[in-house]
Amino acid sequence: METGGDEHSGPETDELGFLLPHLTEQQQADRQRSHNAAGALGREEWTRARIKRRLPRPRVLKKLLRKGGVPADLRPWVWFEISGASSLKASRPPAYYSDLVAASNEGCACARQIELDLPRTFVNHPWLMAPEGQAVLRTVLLAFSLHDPKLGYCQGLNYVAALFLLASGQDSERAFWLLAAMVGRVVAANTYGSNLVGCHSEMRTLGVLMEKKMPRLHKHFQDLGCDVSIIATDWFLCLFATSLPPEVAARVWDVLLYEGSKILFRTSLALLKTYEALLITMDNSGELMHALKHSTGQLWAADRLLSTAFKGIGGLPRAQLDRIRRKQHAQVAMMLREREAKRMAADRQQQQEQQGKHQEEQPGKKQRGAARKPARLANGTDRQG
Amino acid sequence: MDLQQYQSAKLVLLGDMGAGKSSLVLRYVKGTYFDDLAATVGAAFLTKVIHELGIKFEIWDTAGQERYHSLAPMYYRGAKAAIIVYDITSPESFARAKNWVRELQRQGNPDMIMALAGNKADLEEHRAVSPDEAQAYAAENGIYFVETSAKTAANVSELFMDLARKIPKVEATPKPPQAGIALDSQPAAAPRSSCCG
Ligand SMILES: Nc1nc2c(ncn2[C@@H]2O[C@H](COP(=O)(O)OP(=O)(O)OP(=O)(O)O)[C@@H](O)[C@H]2O)c(=O)[nH]1
Ligand SMILES: [Mg+2]
Repeated sequence: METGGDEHSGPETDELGFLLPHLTEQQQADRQRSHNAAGALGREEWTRARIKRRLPRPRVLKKLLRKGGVPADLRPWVWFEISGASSLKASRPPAYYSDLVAASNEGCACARQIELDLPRTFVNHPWLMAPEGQAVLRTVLLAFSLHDPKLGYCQGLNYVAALFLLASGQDSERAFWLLAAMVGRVVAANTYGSNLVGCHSEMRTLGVLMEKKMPRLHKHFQDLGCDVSIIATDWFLCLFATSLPPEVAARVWDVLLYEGSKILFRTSLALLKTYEALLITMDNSGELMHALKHSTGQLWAADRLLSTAFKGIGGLPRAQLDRIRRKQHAQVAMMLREREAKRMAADRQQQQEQQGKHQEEQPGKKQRGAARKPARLANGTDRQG
Repeated sequence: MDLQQYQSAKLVLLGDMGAGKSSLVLRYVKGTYFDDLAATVGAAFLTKVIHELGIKFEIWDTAGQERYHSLAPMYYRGAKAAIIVYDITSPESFARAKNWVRELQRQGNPDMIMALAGNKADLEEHRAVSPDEAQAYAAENGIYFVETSAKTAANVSELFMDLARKIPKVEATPKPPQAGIALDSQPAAAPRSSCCG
């Protein structure tokens, strides 16, 4: 038995512990090529970094991250440094995390929602589907909801936290700080906040970029009445953890954590470009979304995806991007305010109707009701500049 | 028969997170119950053809968490039918279902056919919403009500079939009304919004 070469007696898993689906020969080749590229590039630099416990110089680092990514065994450390998690941690008292964990044992407003999602997070990962993994994920998410009580818990964070856990040796504190850095420093502000306002702005920004870079595809989306949010909501909330094979998402995060939220646009545009020919043939938004989800879920060629993201979609100057974002953000904020105002007006009207009815039965009570609740938010005031 | 001639009807599922929207749709479309279903982020899309009625359901299964609410108009706009799902073991989910009914009444397509589904009916021992209360609410609002279980399949195909039967027949298949690009509620055929600049 010992001499048998078959070390994989159980189902095959990737280096993060996910069960591997059946791969076609082409997919296996794509996957292998991506892995080889990651291994070959920067072996020397990473070895030196590992020994010295110091990251390569920024210019070199940026190139290494884009071209080959972080070797899996270095990810816990490298991600912690490049994401800002390390400095975030250093800015808090040493017991910050353990205090949060202790406090979360006292009960949390978000506990019910988190509980609902634990058994529904990466169902293709044996450790996460076992009580042990779910307990660790619960700890991280509860602690985070106390760290950022205004945000609390938002669906999507479960996947982000889980991927951090898996990539950092299932160390819950590490995953917590990485999550805090991702939400607080990497992605756009308020991505996960109430109404997902940040996510809406980012998606609309993607729509504008798409029009500039892929006008034909953009036109096709418009013809179908397919809003960008239909395809991009999980991209901006799960950060590709549920859209791409997880190891490919991790490869995107190597760059995302270092270069910031702009990478979400580069990756999104690269995905649209990769599947443009297919998407153009779809004749309704449901089929389009379905086809895109299906395709990205099988995208094992991480090397090609990243090379399209950095070489295949042209420039994305920061100033221009920020200008588009500001404009979209203002529009989204206004749209959400208007919607809220409409809702409140309708509620008021309904209330008055009910009180009118009520008054017929009990005269004398009407005046009070009719004068209540002045209209809020008739005109936007906190528009961001 | 030529599928092109089927009348397509957009159907949207709304309701609190974990109420069982995805489970209901999968029970109906695939005929099975999945214990290990992922939470929905964004939305999922499935279709189901009902040969007897010549209808093709285009089903949008949405995400239930409260803050995802702002994404919902994109999915319910232009819908011919909506299923609002709550969990009979959760009074909060029933309260949210009522909010959805109200929102559809004022923002949705006025001809939209609505059904209220009290799901997880198999969990009788944990029941927290009485069928009488839900029935009374549904009657008051003129919508169809049924208790379902995605797990045991009870009333699931009945629910979808009932909706399908209520969808008014149209002659030639019109291009289904589609969502505009703007996020606010506009008529279905809204012109391009100002998203491009
Ligand atoms: N006992 C029982 N459990 C159910 C039933 N339907 C769904 N569930 C369970 O409830 C949980 C949530 O079900 P989902 O179908 O994912 O709920 P959802 O409404 O799609 O939730 P979101 O996607 O988060 O909005 C899962 O664990 C299901 O197994 C049912 O009829 N009976
Ligand atoms: Mg769901």
